Amino acid sequence: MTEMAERPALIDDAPPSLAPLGRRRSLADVVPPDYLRYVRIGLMAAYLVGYLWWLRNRGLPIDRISVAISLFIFLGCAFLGKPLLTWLVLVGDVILYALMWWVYEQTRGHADGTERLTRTPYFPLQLDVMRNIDRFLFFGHDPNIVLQRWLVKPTVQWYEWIFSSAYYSHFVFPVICMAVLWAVSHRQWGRFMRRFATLLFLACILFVLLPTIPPWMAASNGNRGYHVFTRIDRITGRGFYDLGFRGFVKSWVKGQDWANEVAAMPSLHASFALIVPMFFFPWIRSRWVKITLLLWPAVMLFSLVFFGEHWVIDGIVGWAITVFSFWLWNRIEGAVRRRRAGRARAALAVMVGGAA
Amino acid sequence: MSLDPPKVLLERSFLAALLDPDSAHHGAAAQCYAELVDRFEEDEIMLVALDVHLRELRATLDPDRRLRLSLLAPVNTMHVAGQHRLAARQADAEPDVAITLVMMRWNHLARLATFDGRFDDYDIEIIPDVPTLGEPADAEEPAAL
Repeated sequence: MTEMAERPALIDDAPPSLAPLGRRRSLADVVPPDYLRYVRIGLMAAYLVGYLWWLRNRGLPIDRISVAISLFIFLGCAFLGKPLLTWLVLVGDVILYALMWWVYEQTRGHADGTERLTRTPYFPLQLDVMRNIDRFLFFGHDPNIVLQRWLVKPTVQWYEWIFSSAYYSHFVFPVICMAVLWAVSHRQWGRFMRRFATLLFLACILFVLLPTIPPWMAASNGNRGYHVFTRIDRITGRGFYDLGFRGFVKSWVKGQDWANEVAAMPSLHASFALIVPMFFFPWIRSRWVKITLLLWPAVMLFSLVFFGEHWVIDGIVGWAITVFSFWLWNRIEGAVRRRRAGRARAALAVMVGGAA
Repeated sequence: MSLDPPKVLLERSFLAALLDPDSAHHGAAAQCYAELVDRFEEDEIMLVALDVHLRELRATLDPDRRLRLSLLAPVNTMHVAGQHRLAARQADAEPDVAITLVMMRWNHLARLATFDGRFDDYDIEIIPDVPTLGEPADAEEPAAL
């Protein structure tokens, strides 16, 4: 092992050919193809068409169970004909995935108190602190109010299509990302989910510690008795409907007790909008593509503030927990790799030493 | 485009040479493996081995379980299922070679670490670049016909 520095390169860019190239047989000539792969690709394409039809004609599935059903149908298409062990691993993944959402919903749902009718949060409700931070960031102005005064018109404006679509992309793109990773690479799915679950965990802690009244609720027309602002119009869905979409599939939510209207800090809309581009950055070389992708979280935060759904600081904290979860898991995964490599080197040294 | 780093499949002959200090190829295997581990640590490659090969070696070699587990700590196991065996039976290759080729094609693996000369006939990247089993190191150039 002492000659490690002088070791000749055994893997170089040019494939070492040990037989004349003309005589080497392609694997495609020797091994039959995985015919079911073509079936899976066809089914996934059919699923995509079906999903788009459903979105246009029935509405966007946004509640957890509707999303889960659509996800499981996709996974059925993507894993058709795969080995039994792969399916068992998938079942384990699905159980963990469902458990993650269940714990999240339960924690978020009870962060504002346990009594259904007279909910009192465990910790004091936050309003002035968040508003004052926003006013500090924007030189004494309330960004929600400024944007509403500038941009809210009696009729739907073209920019509402963009902001409304950005807002509702929260319910689609992270799930699409998970589904595609699930189908393409179990390793990358695991990497994504570790970061995703971490930011959900951190968000739940903040929901409990900092129950925060969102801007729309702080307005006089918010029907909650707060009169911080005179009026905030909740026009979040207006642009989406105006694009011709039929609405949302959330019938499974009825009867559930998971709602928490004071879970504004942090904004998971902002977190989810950042986690997808951040995850794919290592595969993207173009700086301009990266910058373009970062427009999505920026537009998302703008939309959240414009629609009065969140304070600016909610979105910034949402981004911060996303960055933190990447930093944390990059370190942990690097350490695990180093440990595995170290164990192998130590064993190799023992074996080579023993042989000598 | 694969999202994972390129995978290197450690074939049975490579694993056997690596795990057996008495093997003629042990030095070459250890040297190659050390470099592979360096690249694994940098997340440039992934190391995989077929479960059937690992089981077979466990039954025949395995002097020290803990040492083997440590040595192969960076290696992920790839499961060979019935459908792979069925495809291997239909492949135009010797049965034990065919299962490796099926796993390589179906899982889009381009690199194979092996000392088995039978893989030289296929258009795959083979490491380490040393004379393989059944190929004498001092073999003369074939006479021109």
